[in-house]
Amino acid sequence: MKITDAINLSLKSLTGHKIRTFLTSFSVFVGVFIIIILLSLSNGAQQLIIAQITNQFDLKTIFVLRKGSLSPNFFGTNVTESNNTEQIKILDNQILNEIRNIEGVLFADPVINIFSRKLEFIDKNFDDRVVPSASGGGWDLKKEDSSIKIVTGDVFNIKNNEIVLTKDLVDAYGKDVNEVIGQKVMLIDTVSGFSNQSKPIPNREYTVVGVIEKVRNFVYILNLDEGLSTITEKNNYSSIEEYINTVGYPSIYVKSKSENLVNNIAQEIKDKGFDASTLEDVLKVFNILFIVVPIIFIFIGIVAIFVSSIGIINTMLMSVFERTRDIGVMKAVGARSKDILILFLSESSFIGFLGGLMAVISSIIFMNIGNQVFKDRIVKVLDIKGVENIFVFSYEFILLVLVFSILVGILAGLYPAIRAAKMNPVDALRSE
Amino acid sequence: MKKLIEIKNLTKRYRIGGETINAVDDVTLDILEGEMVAITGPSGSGKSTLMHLIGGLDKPTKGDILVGGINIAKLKDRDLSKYRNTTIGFVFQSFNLQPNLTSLENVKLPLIFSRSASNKVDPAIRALKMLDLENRISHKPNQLSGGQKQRVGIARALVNNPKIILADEPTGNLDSKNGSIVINLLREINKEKNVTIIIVTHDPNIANKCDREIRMKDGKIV
Repeated sequence: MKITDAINLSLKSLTGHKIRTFLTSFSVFVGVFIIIILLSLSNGAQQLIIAQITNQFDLKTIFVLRKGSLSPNFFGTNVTESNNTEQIKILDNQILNEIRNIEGVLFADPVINIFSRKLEFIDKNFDDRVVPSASGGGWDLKKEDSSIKIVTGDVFNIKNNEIVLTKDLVDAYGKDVNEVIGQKVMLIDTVSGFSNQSKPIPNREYTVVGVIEKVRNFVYILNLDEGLSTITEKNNYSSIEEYINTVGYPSIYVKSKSENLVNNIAQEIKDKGFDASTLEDVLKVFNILFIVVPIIFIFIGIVAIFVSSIGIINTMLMSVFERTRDIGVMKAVGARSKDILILFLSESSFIGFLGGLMAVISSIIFMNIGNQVFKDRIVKVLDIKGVENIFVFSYEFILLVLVFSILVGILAGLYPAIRAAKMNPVDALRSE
Repeated sequence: MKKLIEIKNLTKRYRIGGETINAVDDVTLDILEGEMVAITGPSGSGKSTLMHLIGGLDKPTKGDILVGGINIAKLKDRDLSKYRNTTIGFVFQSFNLQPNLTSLENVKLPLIFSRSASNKVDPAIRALKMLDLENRISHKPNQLSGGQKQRVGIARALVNNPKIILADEPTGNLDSKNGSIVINLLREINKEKNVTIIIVTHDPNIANKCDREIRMKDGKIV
């Protein structure tokens, strides 16, 4: 028997039961659709997370924290004040210099996370809206830091009464980046503090000197000295020196001269008794997630496919039962057991194919619509460059899924087809 | 005329609920090439079983069936299906046409399962024309009368130019007019194409039209 004849005959049989064929295929469709959507979503989420991390954290970057700091500040969270600072080595100037002298270090700079404050423009005619909670950084930006992308103005030599805003903030106000240069803004302390020692500090005025692309999750950048004096005052220390010698810098931002040296530098810092995290470390954590989540998703998909396989088995058994006499006739006119097997397998594989095809077409439409809907949110809210899709899939993957659905059909059809093939022709012909 | 089918000490035993039944009991029989034979006998006499054994649908418990010198009792599935496909043509009482296929597709079925022959349309159309069915080619079985269905059944049996046609009560579901048309057709095919025909029947009129009548009772020839 030619394969074209087998396909032709099984199509004739399937079209004789359109509703049954469709319903059985539909159960395959549900399973395959779930698999495509979930795996594409996990792909997309993976790319988003990696992009989010790499956007603020390149392969040459090392973040140094005091050991035991609860929350790493990749996402700009405030470093939790620890009660037992005495036992833990603090990031003071001596350590800063030691890090700067490690071979391969391009630069090492403290970065201060400034707790949220209200931000408003002094000139109410310019804009009278208030940002209720703006977090910023106290950070001397470096020209050689490729993570810093200047939009306008001079951002590398900020004085104590100057401020750099991010483009996000300017966009949120609906202003042109050049309009805000020279404007004065005020940072207003909100009463709540993170520790009991904190006290309100006076409002301060700053002149906008530059705009940069968003970096970490800072909305504005002050210079290091200003950042330090803010947290010194806030935490009730008498001088910056006292603060540094007692609490230390919250974090030190280290750039390596080359990607190859990053691990050595990080290790040397760890040996000194500090937490040093590199992009690789961070990604390691997520890599586990990137393995576990798809496995869970695949498991869900397998359960769905299992259910649809039972549907196929049921339909095919029914078809074999109904066509017992036809099987007898086919054997009488010369069909081999193998021919009968092929005939029923091509029927069940076509059910799988049909379900897979429906799933592929509808999931591509679904995911394209989904990507359009989420595009704006991803670009604007998360502000991740180069990534704009929540569902990420390749056409090879789609093709693989299609082959997979045919395989499901074949596997589920195997038992009914073997039963049909093994049928005794005399018994088959006698059946009513 | 030379012997086409030689049956030697053929026995088929069934076991039904612990009871052994000799459906065919030590039958020895020769059928000549070009003969048209009727097998008659009461229900349960083993005539259908004998026909199934000759047709290679069933395996004997004991004995040999030589068809053209080849013992089909010893053939494997592969060769047995080839034998059914090329040497035998079956005609059934209830026609057994595939309901989802047209007349042409039903007649083509043996061609599809034949290994050597290409599944050309020509032999199928020729067979249908021979049985005056050229205007029923794309009809489905439910659009055909009983007589037409059986003629499609005969066309299917003929399409591979078999040596032997086995007909199991071919007129059993037909009225007398259509019944005699079918029998006359079989007689014609037998004469013109020198096809050996074995008909299992209850009907004495049909048996009278055959060259020879073989009566069976309790699995034996009487």
